[in-house]
Amino acid sequence: MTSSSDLQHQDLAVYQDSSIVSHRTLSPSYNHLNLILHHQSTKPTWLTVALVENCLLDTCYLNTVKTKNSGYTLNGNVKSEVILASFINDLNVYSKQFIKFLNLDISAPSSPNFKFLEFLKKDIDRWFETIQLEISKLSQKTSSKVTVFLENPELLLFITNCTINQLLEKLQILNQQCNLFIISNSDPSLLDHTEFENDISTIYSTYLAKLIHKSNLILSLCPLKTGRANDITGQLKINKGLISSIPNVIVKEREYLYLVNKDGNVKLFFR
Amino acid sequence: MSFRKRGEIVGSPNVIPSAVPGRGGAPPAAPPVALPNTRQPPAMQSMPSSFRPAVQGRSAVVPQRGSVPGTLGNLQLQRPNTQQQHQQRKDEQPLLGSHPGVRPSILTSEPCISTGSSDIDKILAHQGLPIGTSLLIEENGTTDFSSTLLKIYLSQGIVQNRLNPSSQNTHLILVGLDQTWAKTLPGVYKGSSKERKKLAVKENESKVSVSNLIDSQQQQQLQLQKEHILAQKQKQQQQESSNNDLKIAWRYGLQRKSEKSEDLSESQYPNYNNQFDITSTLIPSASPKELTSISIPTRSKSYDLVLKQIEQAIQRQPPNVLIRIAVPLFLNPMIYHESQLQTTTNVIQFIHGLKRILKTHQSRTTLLISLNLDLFPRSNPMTSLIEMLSDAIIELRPFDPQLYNLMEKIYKNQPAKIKHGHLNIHKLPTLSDVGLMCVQDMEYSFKNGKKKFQVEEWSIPVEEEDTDNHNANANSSSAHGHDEPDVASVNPMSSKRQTTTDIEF
Repeated sequence: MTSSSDLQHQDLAVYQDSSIVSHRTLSPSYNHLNLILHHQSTKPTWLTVALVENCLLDTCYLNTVKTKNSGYTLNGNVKSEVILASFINDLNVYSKQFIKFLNLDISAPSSPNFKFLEFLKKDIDRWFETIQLEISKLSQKTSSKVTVFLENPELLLFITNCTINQLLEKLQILNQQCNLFIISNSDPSLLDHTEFENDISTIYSTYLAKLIHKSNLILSLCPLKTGRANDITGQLKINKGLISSIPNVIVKEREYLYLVNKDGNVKLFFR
Repeated sequence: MSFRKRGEIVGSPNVIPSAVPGRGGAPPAAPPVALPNTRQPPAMQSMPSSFRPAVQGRSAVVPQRGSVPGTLGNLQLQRPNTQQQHQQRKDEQPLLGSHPGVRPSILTSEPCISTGSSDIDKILAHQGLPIGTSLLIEENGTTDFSSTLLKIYLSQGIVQNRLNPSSQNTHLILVGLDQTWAKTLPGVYKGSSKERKKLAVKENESKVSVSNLIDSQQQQQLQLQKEHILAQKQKQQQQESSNNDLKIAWRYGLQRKSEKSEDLSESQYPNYNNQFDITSTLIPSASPKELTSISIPTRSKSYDLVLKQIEQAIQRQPPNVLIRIAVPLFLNPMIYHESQLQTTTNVIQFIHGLKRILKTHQSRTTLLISLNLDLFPRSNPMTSLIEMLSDAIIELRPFDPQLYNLMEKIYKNQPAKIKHGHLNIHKLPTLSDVGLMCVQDMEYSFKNGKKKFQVEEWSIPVEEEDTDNHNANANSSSAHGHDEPDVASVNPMSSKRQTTTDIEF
């Protein structure tokens, strides 16, 4: 039986060119829709922070091999402008991680290239307009592409009067303006498709199935089937989406095992 | 599990093709503009202005959507805008240091409060529940252990509030039940009957009376003699213990250190936690000044009024007052009569609204909810959504009657070892949000004792009686001088069969 201590710490690579967010996906001609699926016990905060870091600075705190300094800085030129909008968390969840790994204080509006929006305290009904406004503000400032991370937008299906198609339509409109990362829960209890059209799990699984059919990349985090382990937190699966990506931007499908420590440090291992 | 080395595949840069149909390209890029150093504050959010009707076609299983959180028909909830939030943060002072019931988390240094049970505080990993977070207590079966936990959570708040009669430091909000339920809150544990008698004797002795005065002079002389003898004994013991320390294994020394550190933390925060006697009641019971009870209105179709009342109750309190919110027996049809209140949309809106309140007043509010899993099992997607919106989740799973009977049989002489059920952890505050896998199934057991809600690591009870019997049989057979191995001593089932057949014949 191997344990994580026997395995070699690996770097995160999503595409075949060993990149995490490929430069080619940031071209203005085509916008990507990426999905991050997770279970309740394997929340993807650490992965979101890593992806945001890679979008901004082209670096990744998970990787031991540091990429060449490409001259990106938080207050200057960045790889991509980032908006992180959460429907379930406030900035307290992310602030420590961002300070630790990016040296970025998201509670203070210090970085002109990053914006954190939370719709927990704010008016949730105006989420779409608020994000659109921020995208237009950021895209006016620089020529680089905006990447938007949306955390648990599926809650809108249950706490507002939004229907599946209305939500997907709004996401489509946003995706026409920027690259989208949608973070959604994929607990098995939520994906039990029933014959009742208006059943909560039917609504949820329909929403997720439709979203998967629009996606270019799927990153999923799930716990080990064997249960909890002290040296492994869960597994990260990287899969192609159902829409083929731009040629020569090839997703390298693979599985990692990962370990999150109480300090927030993360290690990846090949499965 | 395979072991592979990292391979680096470098792709060649190529021209990017045109967009895929149906996926729009980016808008024309604006010319690069010099970045300003400062950023404007986020736009002020306006209130939803009107009540929204139910969505058509969603009435069968997810019937009639209620109003959007923040609205109650034409009545608007006062949702704080950004400026108000900043003002609230300024007003709400950090309670750490000033409140006797607040201490820093041992993991993240966040201010934490006690749930009333020191064992629950321990399994939450922070030595308490961080302020601004919620704890969902799920329970299987027909038992009601979760209500005990909610009661001691509220009692803990009242006890801390009464430490200084001149100033209020804690306020309780009870949702769904009224003051009569609050009258059953348990009182502080005052020791065993022997300890109470001793205390009573001491109190009597301290009173000024002629007999006490005469006795006290004689007792003083005796005490002086005793103290002298004790001091000599202590000196001897110290000398012996210093010699013994060298002999005792190093690990015992470490244990002593940990005990000392626990004592230190208790001495630093003496009023952080109390022990409660669930057979007693808190006297005097919680007054309306200490506890606001918010009932679920009859004929109500949504939780908007409840959310508004909670918000108002918090705003009525001074900014330095800690708020403990309790929602016992959530969605129990006994309390939540109207079927409209049990629809998914309304329930999720309510839980989301509670979370919004917690985060708006995150420097001084905590929340405990109890939910019966027989009514809403974990496989129910609505329960999953409730769990998604909770910061911490524990599940109380009482033992099957068979297992409980077995434990009673095994621990006949050690009743303290008999537990009431398993305690599973599904989520821990802060740690689960970071991405830690905190699920712990069947690793802990709980016991709802008179003086403590006890949580211990679960260990499978071993039936020692049978092995003793077998050994006895084996000894007796060897004593009788049988050369062949006794079948009964090897297989207990066969022995039973043997005896039954003997009786039959």
